[in-house]
Amino acid sequence: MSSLEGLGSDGTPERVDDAIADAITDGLPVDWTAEGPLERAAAPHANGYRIIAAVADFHRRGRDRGLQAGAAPPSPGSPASDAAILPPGSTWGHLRIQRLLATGSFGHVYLAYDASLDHDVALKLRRISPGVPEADDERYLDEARSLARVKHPNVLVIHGATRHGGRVGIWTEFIEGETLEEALQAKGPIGATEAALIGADLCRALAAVHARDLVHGDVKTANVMRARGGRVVLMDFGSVRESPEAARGIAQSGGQGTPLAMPPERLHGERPTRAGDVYGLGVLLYRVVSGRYPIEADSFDELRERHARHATTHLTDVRPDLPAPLVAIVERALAPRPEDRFRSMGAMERALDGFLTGRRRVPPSVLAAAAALTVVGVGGIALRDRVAPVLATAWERLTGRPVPIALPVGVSEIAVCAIAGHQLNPMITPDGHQGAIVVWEDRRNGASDLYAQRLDHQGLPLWEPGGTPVCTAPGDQVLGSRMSFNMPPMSSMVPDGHGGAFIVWSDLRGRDFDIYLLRVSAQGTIPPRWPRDGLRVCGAAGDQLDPMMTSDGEGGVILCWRDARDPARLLDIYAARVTGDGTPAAGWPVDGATVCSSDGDQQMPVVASDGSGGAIIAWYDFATDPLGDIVAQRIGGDGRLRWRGPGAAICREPGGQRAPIIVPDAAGGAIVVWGDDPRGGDARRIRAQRVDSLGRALWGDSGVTVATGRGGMPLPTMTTDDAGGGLITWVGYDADPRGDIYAQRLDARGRARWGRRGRAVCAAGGAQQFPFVTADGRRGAYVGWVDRRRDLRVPANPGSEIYIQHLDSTGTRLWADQGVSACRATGERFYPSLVSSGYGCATAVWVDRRSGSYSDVFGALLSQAGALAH
Amino acid sequence: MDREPLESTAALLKRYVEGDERAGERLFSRYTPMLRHWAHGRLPSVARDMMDTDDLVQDTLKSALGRIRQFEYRHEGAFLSYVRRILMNKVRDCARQAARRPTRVELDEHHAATAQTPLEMAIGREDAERYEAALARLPKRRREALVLRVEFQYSYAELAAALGGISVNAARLRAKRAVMQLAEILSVEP
Repeated sequence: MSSLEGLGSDGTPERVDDAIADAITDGLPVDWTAEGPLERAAAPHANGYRIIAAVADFHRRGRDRGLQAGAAPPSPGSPASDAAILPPGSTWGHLRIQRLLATGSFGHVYLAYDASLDHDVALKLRRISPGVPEADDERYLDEARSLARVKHPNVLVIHGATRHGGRVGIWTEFIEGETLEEALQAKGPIGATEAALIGADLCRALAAVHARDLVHGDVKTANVMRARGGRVVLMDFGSVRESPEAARGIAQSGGQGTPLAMPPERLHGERPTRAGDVYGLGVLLYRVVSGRYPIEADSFDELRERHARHATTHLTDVRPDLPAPLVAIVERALAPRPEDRFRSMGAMERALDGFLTGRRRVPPSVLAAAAALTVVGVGGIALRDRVAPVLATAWERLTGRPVPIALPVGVSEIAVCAIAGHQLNPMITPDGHQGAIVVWEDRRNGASDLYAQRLDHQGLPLWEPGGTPVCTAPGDQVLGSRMSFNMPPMSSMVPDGHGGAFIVWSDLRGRDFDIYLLRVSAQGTIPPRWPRDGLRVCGAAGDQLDPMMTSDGEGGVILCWRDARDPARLLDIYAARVTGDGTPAAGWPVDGATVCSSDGDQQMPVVASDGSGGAIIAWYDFATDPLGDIVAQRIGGDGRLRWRGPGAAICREPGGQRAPIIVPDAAGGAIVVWGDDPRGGDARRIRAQRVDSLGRALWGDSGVTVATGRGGMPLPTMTTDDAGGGLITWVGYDADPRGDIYAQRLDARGRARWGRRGRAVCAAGGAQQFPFVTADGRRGAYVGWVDRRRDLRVPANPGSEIYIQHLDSTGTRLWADQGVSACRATGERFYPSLVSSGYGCATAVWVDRRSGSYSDVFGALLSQAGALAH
Repeated sequence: MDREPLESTAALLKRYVEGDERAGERLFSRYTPMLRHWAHGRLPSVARDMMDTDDLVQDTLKSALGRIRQFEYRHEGAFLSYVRRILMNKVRDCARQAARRPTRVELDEHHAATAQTPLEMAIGREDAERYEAALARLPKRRREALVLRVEFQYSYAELAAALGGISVNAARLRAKRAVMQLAEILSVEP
């Protein structure tokens, strides 16, 4: 049996970690139930272990039972004990099961019918755990029985608790509604009055608990429900209503306490106290008005360390609009020392009631002075704003360069398309008038269609609200491609030079995927001579996918794609050229010219203009190395290949090369950057090579190394710096295993201009992912990424923001040190891409899941002080 | 799944590298069922219809064995790790191609397989992807130990031989450290 037995409350986090690792390595089942506060605090990497245990379990079952398509019943003690679910109509004790409501590591919650009450109840059945001592179950029941003695309108009514059929269960009133955490995720933070009302109710509820000489010990947003009709109900045991993630069947963190909501004394192993409940309520109020935690961290050690340093984020910094008296109440409840908090729940309730009923009028000047003093005390930001301009002028005189003070940035959110149904894969391109055109895949009508919108320099839409249809032909229209969620986005759009754009896609209206192209005018209409639902560029047999496109410099475009028309030759690369009028260029074969049809797969072509009507195409080639090489070829404006053989080898070293990106240099050649995995070593590298118009490598035989990572593959994105070099960004995992964003500028000679290892664009705590870079027109760059700094994985309430930074030509950050947030809505967002909208302005778009059900396209216009827009 | 004493598989590998073609054939028949089973767990049913798992595995083994003499394979663990990567790439590409078919109503923004693989059904798609991403970030030797122990279910004796003839205790320790490091990567990264 698992070596977790006997650890009990003596288990330090390290010992519990070690014991779990032993069990998983030895192939023994792990007991995941962790109800006590200390066991919850121990095993900081429990989430990771669960996943590994589940993978091990999966493979073990497969081995034991032979090949099976479906999931076999898991062994007891594994996270997904589906075998233990009671079906509707069955009974447990005197209760009749109606349906499963929620599931998690603690066990299952059912809706059940209690005949003796003649009422529905919520039944929480604890997981079957062979080997868990009976004393543990008894403790659980005792706590339930104690809580049953608390009678208060804001405390969940507990009807009973007992052991039956080897399982321990508690049945309580069944509440229809949502937890404060669910409400926060769905609708965002609430206002001061509503928060104070909820706080006052919870003070009364906790006072009733304390009056029975009990302590709650786990006050948090997930433990408080808002019933239909508005009643606030305090619940217990952490997980009667789990997050939607837990309902998927695998607990991510359910059942564990929330270290972020724990008072500092609890993190060091002390037992729960009344003062701890005050603190928990303070965290809850902080969270419902801001969506955050007062102290955020990504690991236990970091959390303890931040508590020791009092590294809290002051509520005023997060919600400057909140009335000062409410902020003061919350901050007092959050005092690090228990004796500094409210002495009792009654005292806190009186403070909240005072705030609600009679707010004294404070002169605005006094308020402002108080706020300024407070801010100066915390971080000196206000001080910097006053002194900075003086220092800046002095610095400029001395050095001739502007001092890197963070420029204030205005952010305007843009709802590009939030219509019901999924909107996905947005791509953005400049329109040549400081605005941008956005195209995306839209499922509002069922299948995937293409819609587009044009935004002016203020981010306002110029075309139809919700997007102008580009192609609504039957079947799916698919933009670009993404190998996996780690890859950078690929572009399917180029400006047409007249305020409009060309759009290319893979289209399934026929038997298989074909390549289609359309031009959209500056007014959002289809120019004459272009077919309504797109011009078919390639309709050959088999799938044509992953089209990429570049301007041909003469009003038309050159496209390339991955082609499966010849099954014997697997995947090949083809290209086509189309004029601005929608006619195929003279001399090019129908259905595309062959770029490469060697044996083995050629995939993921990328294309750059060669400056003379043709293009250089690079791709990921499996002809000789099963892990992939990077090869490039040049095709002229006449449709003929220019380089010998299958193409110029950009990188043919053994080991894997992946994810090529190409940009034109200013001289008829191109720069290619890729992720590299040299054989035998653990290092992952980003490398780059430049080829000239004759296909000759210019940066040494094997190119230059842009970055080396010890762990993980830094995935690069690149854009031209408009001076023959490239601007590259990637995610590095060496300093922070969650990922930080780095950038580098390579000049035309392949020399790194921004430090030997590049510049850190963002090294904030938390994960930064999916960087995207675009040139700012002055040898600098805008970099956007997905940022998870505000969330901790425990508990699993994932959410991400989009951050943007502006780097000047020396790689210096012009905006706030760790970037400017372009979107603080709750929920997830993915795949940001951005364009420059005039100097100092950037427009970003991304896939946004704030609605919780559908994906939408949202964006933002960011303008730095002194910029043109706004 | 019956496996002959792995000392002989590691020895087979060595002999094949040194030029013994018959050893290659035996390796082929040894690894095929194991890899087929592994690949089966990673292919969504949609793709499994379109593509014979056997073809996938055979392609992979042929490629990998074909290149083996150009690489310095120190031990079986390194070879299987290499094979797994090739297979994973092929599986992913298969799944992507299958996903292009509009047979599913539900959509996933990653545009990866819209049907779930058996592994994803067991642990969820997000965790399956995170597991792969985190696995790629382990140091090579630890990744080998973890893959062989957790995915291919090697016993400690088999593991010791596959990792180059180290002691059984050392093999267990390497696998355990790999599990701990992987858990840390998975826990800190959302």
